[in-house]
Amino acid sequence: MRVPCPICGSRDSREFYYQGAAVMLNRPDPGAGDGAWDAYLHLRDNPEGETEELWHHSMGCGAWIKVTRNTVTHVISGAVLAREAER
Amino acid sequence: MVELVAESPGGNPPPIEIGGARADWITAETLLWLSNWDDAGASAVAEAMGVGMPGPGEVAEAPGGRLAWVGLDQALWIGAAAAAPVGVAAMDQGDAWSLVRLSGPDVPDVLARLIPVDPAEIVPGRVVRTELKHMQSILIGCPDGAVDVAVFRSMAGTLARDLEEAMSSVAARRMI
Ligand SMILES: [Zn+2]
Repeated sequence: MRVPCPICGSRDSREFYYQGAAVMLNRPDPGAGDGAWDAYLHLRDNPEGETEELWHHSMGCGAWIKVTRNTVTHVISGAVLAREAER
Repeated sequence: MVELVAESPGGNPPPIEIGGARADWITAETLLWLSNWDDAGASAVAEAMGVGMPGPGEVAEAPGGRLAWVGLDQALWIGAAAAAPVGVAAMDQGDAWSLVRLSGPDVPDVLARLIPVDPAEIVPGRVVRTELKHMQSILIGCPDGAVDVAVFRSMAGTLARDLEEAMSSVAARRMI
């Protein structure tokens, strides 16, 4: 599997650490309450199809990237730097 | 007077030469890791080192050394002693990395056994960060097809073994 790093270009997936769903970019307000924090930390969808997730180019440039991947076909349709991703 | 001899971090192992590839441990007077610069910091670097900040994958040749991109918003000065420029987070990493120069016609075949990136991308003026076996590495293109390889000093011995194994394998294929 190849992952398109916005900095380094197309690279083998072995260079990356997979973090999980990109919801981690949307941290709730500290006072949002137990429900919001429980959902943020523990509750995940398990979508069939397109999903957004965070990968870390740990063996490459060190960037966190938000990858759009289809869980059915594994097709990766986009990747942006996490710090430039819309929140 | 005692003559102090510069030693590559990780010691000065003898060069490895097998088939058409050779590995020499090399030393740099200074390895300065730069990050977190603003415009003023970039200007200070240009003044101190004589080159601008390299873009992704770029290596800038300077009078006293090389300034290589080594990651997102990070660069590594490899060369003569340099004062840390103001406006940049600068860290002396002279003892942190082991540097090896790979040379010879078999370098691309040797690297192809060690990294998941096309060795043809590693030409003069270009640098690649990738996984070498299981090590985080920096690979810098040099003249005449040579490549400078840097890994953490703690893994210098592993790098030597991995290079020797890959060079032996390539040389063995040549004899078939
Ligand atoms: Zn990258």
